Amino acid sequence: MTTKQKLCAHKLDFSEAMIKQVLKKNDPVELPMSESFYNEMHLNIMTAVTKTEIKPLSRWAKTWVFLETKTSR
Amino acid sequence: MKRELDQLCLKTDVEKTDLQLVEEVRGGHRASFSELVKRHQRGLLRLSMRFIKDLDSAQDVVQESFIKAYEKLGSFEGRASFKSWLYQITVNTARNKLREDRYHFSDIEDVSLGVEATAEKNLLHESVGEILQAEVDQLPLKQKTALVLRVYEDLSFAEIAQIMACPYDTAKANYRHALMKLKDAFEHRGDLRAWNHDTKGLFTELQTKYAEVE
Repeated sequence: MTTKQKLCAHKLDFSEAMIKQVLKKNDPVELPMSESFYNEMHLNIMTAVTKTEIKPLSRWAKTWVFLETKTSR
Repeated sequence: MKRELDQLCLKTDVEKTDLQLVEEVRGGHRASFSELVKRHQRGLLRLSMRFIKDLDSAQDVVQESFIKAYEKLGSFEGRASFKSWLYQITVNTARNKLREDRYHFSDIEDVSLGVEATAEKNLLHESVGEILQAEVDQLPLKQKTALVLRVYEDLSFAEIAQIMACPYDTAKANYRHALMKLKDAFEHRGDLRAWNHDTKGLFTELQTKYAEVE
């Protein structure tokens, strides 16, 4: 890497740090704080999950796993 | 295998790693998924809200992502971390949700309202953060994803590449392009230049110092 390239990279690193700082300081996302909100969310997700089944691997996926095991030996 | 799984179940859920919990769920212990949801629901909600501003819609995205993850658990190979895998599903779900919403709500009245709102907003004195945030929202989705994951989630480029399902260099390039656009906004947008002036040219001063050395 030439000196000029190093300086350019350094300059971009500075911009990065500056922009990161401004963005993080003004983070628009505000998450709910109450624990009950997350308990309810967790309950809703788990209720939906109980009605769901893990899909079996497709024939193609099985072939891929087999090949992968063979090559890793 | 069964014996190993039984021994694993003796540990408390908090002590177990994500991969151990995944193995238990695969072995038929559905309740272990509950701990995985507890661990990751906040992170996933925060990530969804970066793309979808509405809390209710973001919650829907999180729920849909967990259901998809559960369905696809058989295909999780453990090459990436479970968290990266979940984030990948969430980013894709949020992207689909955005596309759906754009399709359902793109109405001519919405467009004119949007223009009015933007004009009104421009009249107000916005903070630099708000202006930059607006620039972030206008970025192409891939660049925005890379930026969000790097800036707010502090992830490495290797992790970002896993989540975006792209090569390492592509993830890095997307991030760099996003950064360059924001940097341009700092240098060319009048309101940001004004802020720069207010802070006694802090941004340009340091930028020019580097330029002078060059």
